[in-house]
This record gives sequence, C-alpha cells and structure tokens, in this order.
Amino acid sequence: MATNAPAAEPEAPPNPPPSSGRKALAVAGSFVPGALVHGTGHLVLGHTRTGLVLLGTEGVGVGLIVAGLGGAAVTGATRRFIGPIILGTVTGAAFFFLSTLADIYGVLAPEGGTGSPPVFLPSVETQLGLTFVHDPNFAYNAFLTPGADLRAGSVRLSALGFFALDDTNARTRLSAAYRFFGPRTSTSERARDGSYLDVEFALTNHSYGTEGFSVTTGELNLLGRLDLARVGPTLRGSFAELGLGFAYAAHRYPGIGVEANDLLTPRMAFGMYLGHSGYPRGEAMAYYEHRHDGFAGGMKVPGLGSGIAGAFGAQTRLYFTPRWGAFFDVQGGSALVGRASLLFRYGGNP
Amino acid sequence: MRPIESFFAALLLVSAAPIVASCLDVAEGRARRDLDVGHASQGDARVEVAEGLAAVRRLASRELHLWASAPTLSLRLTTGAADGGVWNVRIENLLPDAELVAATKAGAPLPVEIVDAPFPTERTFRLDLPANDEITLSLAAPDRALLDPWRFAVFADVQEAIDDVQDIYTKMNATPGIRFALISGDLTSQGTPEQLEQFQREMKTLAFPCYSTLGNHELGTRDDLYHEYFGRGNYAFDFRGVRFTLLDSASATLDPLVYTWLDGWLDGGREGLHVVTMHIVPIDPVGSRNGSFASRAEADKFLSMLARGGVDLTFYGHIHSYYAFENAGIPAHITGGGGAIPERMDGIGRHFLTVDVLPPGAIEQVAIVRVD
Repeated sequence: MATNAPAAEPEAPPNPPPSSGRKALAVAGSFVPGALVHGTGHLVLGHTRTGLVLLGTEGVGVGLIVAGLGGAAVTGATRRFIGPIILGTVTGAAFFFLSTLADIYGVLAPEGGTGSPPVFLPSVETQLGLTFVHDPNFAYNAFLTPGADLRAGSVRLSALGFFALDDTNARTRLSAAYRFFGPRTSTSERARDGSYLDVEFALTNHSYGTEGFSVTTGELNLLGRLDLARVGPTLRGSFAELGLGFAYAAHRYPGIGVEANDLLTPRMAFGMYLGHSGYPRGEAMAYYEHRHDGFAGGMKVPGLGSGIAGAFGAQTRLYFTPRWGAFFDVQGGSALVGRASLLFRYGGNP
Repeated sequence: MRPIESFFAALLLVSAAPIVASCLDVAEGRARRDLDVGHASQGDARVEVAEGLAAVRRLASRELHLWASAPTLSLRLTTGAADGGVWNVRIENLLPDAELVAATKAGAPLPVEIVDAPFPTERTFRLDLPANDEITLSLAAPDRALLDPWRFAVFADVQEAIDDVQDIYTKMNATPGIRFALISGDLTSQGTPEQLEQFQREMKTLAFPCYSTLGNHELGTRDDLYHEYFGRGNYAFDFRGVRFTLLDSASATLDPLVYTWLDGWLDGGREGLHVVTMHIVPIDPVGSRNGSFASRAEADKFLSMLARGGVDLTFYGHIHSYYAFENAGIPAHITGGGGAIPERMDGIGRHFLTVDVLPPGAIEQVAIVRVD
C-alpha cells in the first residue's frame, strides 16, 4: 500500500484547464441540479469519470437509504434487525452527502487541491484546551480539556479528559487503536496518502456529580479515511471518512444499581487538507456522529423526527510551526459544544 | 494558508449548517402553552381551572365548555354584571359518576342540575349563577380518596389506525373495573384538527375517561393544536392514593421548565404511589434503535430524578410493541399497541395494559390485554 512517491507533489490534471465560463457553469451545476444529480459539476467540467463515480456513489447511497428506511418501516423497527438497518442507513447517508460535497469541492478547488496529507504522524501529540457546553438541561458550561496521543508503529494510545470548571462533572476517555494501513510514525513505511483504516477500542467514564449518576461505555469502532484523490485528480486535497461501531454502556445510579444498554457509534465526515508545504498546515472537516451520548447528544428538531439523528460538527486542526498548533471543534446536537485547544507534537510530517 | 484555503475552510464550516438547525428549546413553546391552559375570559366573565387540568373549549355568554384532563377539577368562574342567570356548563371526558358542586364566594351552595348526558363521559350541567360573583365549581367522583383496590388502563400509538380503534375500546369496555385510561401519546398520525376531533369523537363510546399527553405525531402539523383540544402536555393529579404525572416528551426531551415543575410533582407524590407516563422513553431498551431521548445524558438525569423522587411505575409509548424492563430501578412498560405499524416478529400486536392498584403502597400487577 505504501509508496515512495511524494504525496505533496500534485500530478498534472488529465484535462486542459476549463474556461472561466465553463467553470462557473460547473460550480452552478454542482449545486443545481447537483444537489439531486451528484457529479453534475464534474460532468460539466469534462471530468466524466469522476462525475460518474460520484453519481454512482450517490446511487449506492440512495439505495442503502431506501433499503434502510423501507426495512425499518416493513419490520416496524424490529429489535432483531434494527442495528444493521441503522448502520446501513447511515452508510447510505454518508455516500449520499459525501458525494455531493466532493462534487462541489472538485469544481471549486484550486489545481492541486487545498492541501496535502501528512504521510508521517507524530509519535507524541498533546493538547490542552477549553470546552464550552451549552445544554439547557445541565448547569455545566466550561471544561478543562487535556489529552495526549502516543503512537508507535501501527498502534495508537490516546487519553482525553473533560473536567468541569463550574460543576462536578468529569469525562475521561482512553482508547487504543491499531492501524491496518495509512500514515504512521516516521519510523514506519511512508504512506501513499492520508487514507487509513483503524480499529479502535475505547473506554469512557462520564461522572455527573450534581445529577448523581455516571456512565461507563466500552466501544469498538472501525474507522476509515479515503483520500479522494484516488477517485479523481480534481478531488486532490479532500478526504471522506466513515466509521462503524458499537458500544455498550453501564449506567450507574447510586443506591439503585447498574443498568446496561447498547448504542451504535457510526460516523461520517468530509474534509480537506489545508496547505501543501510550510505553515500553517493542517486539515478541516465537517462531520456527523450518530451516537447520542456525550456532551452533544442527538439533535432535537421541531416536528415528528426529534431524537433520531445524532450530532453534526466541524473541526479544524492547524499547525503553525513544526511543533505547535491549534484545534477547534464545534458540535450541535442536544447541546452546543465548542472546543479550542493548543496542540504540541513531536515528530510527524512535515 | 492561502486565501482560497481560508475560503474552503469557511465553506466546510458552512456545510455544517445543520448545527444551526439543532433547536435546543424545541419543547419550550409547548411548556409555556401549558401555563395558559385552563384560563379564559369573555367580557367580564373569567374562568380559571386549578393547575390547568382542563382545556377551556369555549367560554361564551352563560356557556362554559371544558375538556377534563383529570378526574377531579376545581375551577373559579367569575361573573360580571351581565353574566348573572342560567349557565350551561358542558364537561367532556369526566368520570361517569362525577358530581359537580358549586358555591358562591360567600360559601353559599348553588343548585346544579344535569340537563344532558349524551355519552357516559359527557355531562351538561345547568346552574343559576349570580352576577358579579366568584363561583367555585368542584368536579369530583365519590371514590376519589378511597383506598380500596382499583384498576386503570394504559395505551398509546393509535395514529393512522383510528378507524379501527373501536376494537380496542370494545375490549376495554368489556374489561371489568377500569376507572380511567392513560394515553401515552400519538393519538393521531399528524395532529391535524380533523384527526384530533375524530379521536375525541371515537372516545365517546368508552365508559370511562382517558387522560393523555401528546406524542411526536401530534407535532406533525403544528405544535399548538393539541393543547386546544386536550389541554396540558405536562401535568399531575391525584386519585385514590396514586399520584399520576403525565409529561410531554414528544420532542425526545423535556423542556427545562418542566424539570422545575417535576421537582414539585415528585415532592407531592412521595407519600403514596406515583405513576409517571410520557410518550418517548428516556432510554430505549433496544439501545441501538434509540427510539428514545435525543440525549442519553438527559435521559439519565431524568431517570435519576424519578428514582430519587420515589416513582413506583413508568409507562411509555412510541415503540409499537410491548416491553417490560426497569429504568433506574423503576419498573417500566412500553405499550405502543394502539394500532400503528407494529414491530414485527415480536408476537405482540394490538393491546392495552391494565394496572391493578392496591393503595396505599402497592401495584398488584400490570397485565397486557391483547385485542387481536
């Protein structure tokens, strides 16, 4: 999977540069009718293969969504099959939304893309930040958020904590991940691009001192990223992520006992690398997390469908020097969550 | 980073626009509307139902029309200079043996005559009221404080099966001893005025009243119609040694205002049995389905409150099957067998529950009654 070709060097586009008028038409087409016919922007631009791949991806997405919703309706959301039905539906939604975002990106992005992926990761990366949470049903607002990632070869160990500054609330998450392929530390093989596939096990304890309960959650996730340059040259610099997972939570009510419950943890994201060389350099992404635990919870919307969807978010990770950077994350679900952290790393590329 | 990259970063943030759609106060309007239920004025005449336990369907010249949300009502009717004379007070959804008692502000009793009883749960009372007075009206059944064993029923999720709901009502009427029923939401499929009216029409065949809260399907058209027809979504009442608390979880959450009310309702229910019902369950026993609160954290907070408040029994709807489980140690039952698209392969089908109460401190049994 790994290669010695430098990922930061964009290849020449196969098509001649389009005229400004055609590019404007492609941009417009990526929205209308692109919102319905994904890939329209690329088809207008003359990147037929990429356009058709995006259209096909949309088709697979719609198929999975229809099958999922239809399956839920036909079976009355039966307990026997609802897990696979939801995972299939979220995967379909990922294919649907990521293909339209990719189409828009591809017709708007500068030649060579917005940035290049890191091909080596730091062996140590630490963060210290502040998290602000506005949840109308909880008193807490501010959290101190320290964290660290340690990487060796294909293995990553991570810790992340949220400690309330204005309440007795604390959340700690420990995770271990194994990378099947993709960027690793500099002692490993150089990665072809930013694509990866990880399996992750995580253990989270969240203590709500004021409300008098706590939740311990164990989860297993399969997380993948695909650099979309593999789909077409216009998509260089962008990536899509899909995660599928399952968690089991123990809810502890003091003086009463422990009750167990499961939840699904699928996730999807579309993002772009920022910067090819020098600094600042990093990546930004918009994402959806289906899980309903944590600070953000799931979305509350007017009308019939409240409670089904998870949380939406956007995050940016930027390094301003080889060692120092910043991380920003916002989420909207049952609460609004914003986090800003200072990053320090050792190793990595560049 | 070049300007074009900054532009793309901004574009990405915009693509997370659904964050904006996340409405944190999605149930606030309904909670505030609860405060208006039971209050109305027309000219100099004014009516105030204690605790908002009845919807004022109409207040006109010497005419008052109520939909009761509880077996016992207490209301104050203020008459102006032009309001003296014979009044017709029509009350729907009352216990068939409920009696209306009226008195002036000075405490003088007023005669009350039943002039119409078209259905077991509807009466029109006639009263001769003095002008410029403050009349107290009390509606109560003789057994309201009796601590003998008794029975109530619970059902939910009729939705589009309203045309077949008489199957359920026939079985309910044939089941001995049901004093009233609780409805845990989703009476209709879209909550339109026509559907709400039809639901109330169909209820007329029942031999007992039903006290309900709303479900997410009542929000399918507007979220302010339910209160006009059925009254509050969040309320509590006491009957025969049991406190009943009905909550509006139709938006997969409770509004923060409701939590402040819940504190008081829990305190008031500590002495006897306390039954809590709502539509959407805090935590779906099939967690991966998550037919439950949008936030697990809020669900746990809520359940912790119920447990600390000594709640004895919880009922939910929304999931079209029957589940018996425990939440925060409290016995819980999901009963969504009113006829809406059923959960397959569960062997349940249409059903309702009967609950046998042994006051002052025990629930004898919760039984499932199958309709099909």
